[in-house]
Amino acid sequence: MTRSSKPRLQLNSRLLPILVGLLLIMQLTFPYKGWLILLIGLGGAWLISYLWMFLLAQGLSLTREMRFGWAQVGDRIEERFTLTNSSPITAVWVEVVDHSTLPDYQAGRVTGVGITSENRWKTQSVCTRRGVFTLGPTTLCTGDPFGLYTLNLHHPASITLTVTPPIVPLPTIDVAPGGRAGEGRSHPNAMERTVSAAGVRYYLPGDDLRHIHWPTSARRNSLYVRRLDSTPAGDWWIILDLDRAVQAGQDQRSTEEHGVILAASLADRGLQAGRAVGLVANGEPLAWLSPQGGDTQRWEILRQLALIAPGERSLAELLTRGRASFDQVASLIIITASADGTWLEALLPLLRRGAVATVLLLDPTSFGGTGQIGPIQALLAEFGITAHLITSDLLDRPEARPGHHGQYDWQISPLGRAIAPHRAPDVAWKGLD
Amino acid sequence: MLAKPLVWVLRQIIRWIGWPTLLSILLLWTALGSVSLGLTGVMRGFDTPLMLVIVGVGVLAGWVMARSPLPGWLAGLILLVVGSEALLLRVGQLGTPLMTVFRSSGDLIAAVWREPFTGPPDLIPLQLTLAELWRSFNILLMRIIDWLFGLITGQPVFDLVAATLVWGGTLWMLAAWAGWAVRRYQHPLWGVTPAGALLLISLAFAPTQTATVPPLLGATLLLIALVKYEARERSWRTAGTDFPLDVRTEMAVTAIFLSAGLVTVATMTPTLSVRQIARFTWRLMGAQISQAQPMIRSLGLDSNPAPASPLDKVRAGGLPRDHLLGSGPELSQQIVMMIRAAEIPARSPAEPPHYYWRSLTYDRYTGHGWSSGKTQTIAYEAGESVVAEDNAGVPDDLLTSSSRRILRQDVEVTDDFGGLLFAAGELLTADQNFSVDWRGPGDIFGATIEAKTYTVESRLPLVNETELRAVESNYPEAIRRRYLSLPDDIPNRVLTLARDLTALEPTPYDRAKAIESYLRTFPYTLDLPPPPRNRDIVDYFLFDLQRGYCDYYASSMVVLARAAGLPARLAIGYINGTYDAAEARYIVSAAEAHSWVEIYFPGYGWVNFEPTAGRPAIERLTEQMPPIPAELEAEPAARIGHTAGVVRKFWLWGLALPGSLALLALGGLVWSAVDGWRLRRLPPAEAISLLYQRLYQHSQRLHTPLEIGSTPLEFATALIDHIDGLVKQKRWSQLVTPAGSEVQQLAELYIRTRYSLHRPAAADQIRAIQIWRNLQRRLWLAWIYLFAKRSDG
Repeated sequence: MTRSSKPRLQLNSRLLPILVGLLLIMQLTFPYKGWLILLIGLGGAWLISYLWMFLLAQGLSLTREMRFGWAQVGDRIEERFTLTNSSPITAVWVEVVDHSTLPDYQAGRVTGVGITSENRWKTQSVCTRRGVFTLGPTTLCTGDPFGLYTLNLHHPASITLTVTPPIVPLPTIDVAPGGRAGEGRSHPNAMERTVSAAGVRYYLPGDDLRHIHWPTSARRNSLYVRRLDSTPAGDWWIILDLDRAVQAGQDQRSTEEHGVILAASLADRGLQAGRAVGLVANGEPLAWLSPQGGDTQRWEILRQLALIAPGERSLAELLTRGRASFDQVASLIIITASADGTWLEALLPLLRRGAVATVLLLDPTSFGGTGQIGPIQALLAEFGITAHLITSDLLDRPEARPGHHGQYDWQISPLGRAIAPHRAPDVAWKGLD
Repeated sequence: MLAKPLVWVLRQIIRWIGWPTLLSILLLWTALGSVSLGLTGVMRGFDTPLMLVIVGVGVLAGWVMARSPLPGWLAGLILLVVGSEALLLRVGQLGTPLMTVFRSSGDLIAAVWREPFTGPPDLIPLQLTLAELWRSFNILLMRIIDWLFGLITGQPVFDLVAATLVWGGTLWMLAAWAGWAVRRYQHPLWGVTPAGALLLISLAFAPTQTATVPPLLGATLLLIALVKYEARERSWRTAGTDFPLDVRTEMAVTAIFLSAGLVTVATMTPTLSVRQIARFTWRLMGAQISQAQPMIRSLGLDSNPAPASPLDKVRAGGLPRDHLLGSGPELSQQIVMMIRAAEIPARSPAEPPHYYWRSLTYDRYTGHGWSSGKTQTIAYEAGESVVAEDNAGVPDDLLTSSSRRILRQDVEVTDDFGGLLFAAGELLTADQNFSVDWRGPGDIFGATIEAKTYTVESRLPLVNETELRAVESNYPEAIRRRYLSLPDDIPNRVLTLARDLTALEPTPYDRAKAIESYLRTFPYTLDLPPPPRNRDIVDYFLFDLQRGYCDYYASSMVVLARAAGLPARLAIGYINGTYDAAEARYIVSAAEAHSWVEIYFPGYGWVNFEPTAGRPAIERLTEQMPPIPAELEAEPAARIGHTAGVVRKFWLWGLALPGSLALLALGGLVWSAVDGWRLRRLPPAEAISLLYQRLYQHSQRLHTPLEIGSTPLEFATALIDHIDGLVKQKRWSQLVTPAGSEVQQLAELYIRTRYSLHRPAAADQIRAIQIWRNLQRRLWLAWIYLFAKRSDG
């Protein structure tokens, strides 16, 4: 249960005190039954209303509980409200005004609560947009039966909810592997496993016997296995072009959102494949995550993608400035809606240094924008760069749509990610701080 | 049969406007209706049904205006204009003159269409009806101004029409404001407060029952709850906030419960004041005193009974005389007295003056009869004037003799009247000892005299109709208090009738005459059933019986006159009798027993009116009488009356003259436009012939000497010569003389139309119309000049 800040009691009629005062003066000066009737009637109504509000101000409280700290677009979140009235006066109506910033979240409602009782209900909503939002604070608004007063009880408790972009099954997008420096450029479909060993370590039960490094084992007289760490050639740099000038479309059907979803989904795919995945995006704020593996990296990428918005930097600038950071044998996955090809000039030095690029071209015309994608495709082909054309129907495919009953399947992780819509979650409710 | 469609219509209305709106309007009606009903108990002649309609429609009008996008000032202006017009039509009885104007307009339009066949239409009927409408409007305006002027100057005048107009207008605007405030601002308290304040102040001013305050309070509290909740629910709907529908029910139940409780507590709580405590103490002491009465009497302390007056029998309530209200009078031809009026020389007139021999006057109408207020008996020596008994407070006009004449009468009574003294007009003195019962200074109930033969002097008003019409209604306070009072339970329709009868009568005298004339249309009869016991006798006569004898007529006229703001009283006695020219005396029989009406006119006193259809109407002089002496005019009351008169005349002329001129100018413009349009639509030959025909009619109006068989050219020449010779004055001549060439041109066009082979073209038609426009104006000017010249000559 959260305590409200100081109750705010507002008299809705400024005329009433004046009238009551005048009636009192008239009654005292020129006693007359008519004055008295109105004085008792209006004064009584005023008094009753005030007492009503005073008692409710003392007795009304709200508890707001949530289970999870983050969710993904398409997830359904659930919140529990408990309105308690410990006063001896019934609250005929109480309006719960929710100040949450989560889009399309309708937690506000009007309800009543009887004398010394509580009213509990849950609200559910589907996360429709990525971003960081707050749930709460809340204001309880109530009034007396005559509507003479309005009582506002502000509950400042709130929680931050991060809504990450959705991860969708992607169509066949082959990412050209890096790491073949000196051996020529790889063919688009020539996926190769990493074989270089970064080091050795002690053998542990369960290690694959094929990974035993026999020379070291012989020299040290103990079993050592090769540590098959990713080689730089296996790193994925996802470069997301969020230059405001090249974006097309609006809201969910925009190159910006599709780029973000593509980046999130590719990152997930790469991480699941055991690769180190990095993210670079020229949005606001600038995203720059060096390739890493694991769930932490996934979360970081998703969090960055949840927050990011289009920026002013161009893709060419991003590639130029990041030239030193990209590994020579990195696999660059460029997601862009830019059709002018100026950024190719910045890419070519990287390619000459051994980086391998895969370009996901978001067709701006399919998002309602302008620009011919043909010339850039031709240029990419000319340079032997693998390119995929992404149109606005990327998410219209059945497999890319939300899961059961219109939602994505929920996955409950130790980090407290969202819940499934029909499975009884076993995560405990946690009040808003 | 009708129930189903009615229910269906009701459902549709509810669906259309919604329950909250319907309930709000119902509550507003309740609150404003309570105000109307409450004012009924305060204001005499308050037309409650009319006022209920006014507030009902006013609330709706305000509500509708609030729903419109109109700004407040414009909506207020529209409501003010519409309300004023409706009130003037209904209360001011302007419906009839307005309908007459419409009818005249219709006739005129029809005449315009028929003009090619019947000649130019006659504008006079429309002008007359417009003038009548304007006059009626001015009368109403003057009455309101007089009423307000009286209020401002501290000399309030009771005028039922003005009061109803003012109250009606006020309630209309208050009701409209209430509807407006609730609908547009969602502030019921703002809306109801002005009306509530009006009611409370009125009730407090004239302390009466507060029965209408609790409904006002209850409706206001519920209205506040409803409107505030409705606004809240609207905001929820707008914001898309989910809310359970049962909140409405809970709110309604809670609000009703609390309102009912508050109203009950407020109504039951006794008012405590110093006055009440004192009264309570006095009651307590009174009980102890009454217990001690036997002991007081045992000590020999007792009040001496006052000596009985011969008038006691006829003073106290009920029916003043046996033949008054109730049943047919017992009339006979038995001679009851003979009176010789000293102003009539023996054997002189064939048509002697008509007198009313008065014995008693009554001031209190009880609803079932008449009684007199408390009186004081004063004995007078023979020859002693009752005027000498003057006290402070006697109306000035009762003390001066300038506006009335003295009449000496020799009375010989042959019947037993219990000593009642008879005299025409106001008693002055008698040649033998007599007693007078005074109701107040200058206000005689009756007089008694022991002798059967006596000479008595009295005063009669010396006034003609013109002077009576000039009298203002600035009555002395004593007169107003006593002779304008009516029972509280007087039926409203009686008051409404009085208002409607006198709405368009400009002066008190005209109002009295209007009532008198109305009552004189009821048939006179002695064959009547006894009146119902629990009915107001005047209401019964006016609306059910509608026939009767003098007591019914006189009672009704007094009540109606008082309701119309005219101080009136009932006088009883005998009427005139048979004039014996040989003896120059009036022989009065029992059949001449009569009751009539006296109405008070400041400056002249009590003036007789005869509403009984079976008796000859009173003929008043119409010629100019000698003016009222300057000292009388110099009195404050008269000065106020004079000022009011000046203001009134100023208003009358200030409004009537420009208004009439504006109306005439407007009518002329409209007529000119319509006529021009119609002339242009006619074929050219026909239009020119018509204009020539009009020219001929104008020549006749100007009495142009024409020879039979004149050609058009000869006719034109004769007319030009006539006009030239007619207007001698230079300024007029400059205006009229150009008519000559125009007559010539029009005549030439006509000749060409009539006798030429070339038919006139459209251009000729237009030219003829243009010529006629100017020519017509000059011909009318010539006619006015001729008319004025003849009037002078």
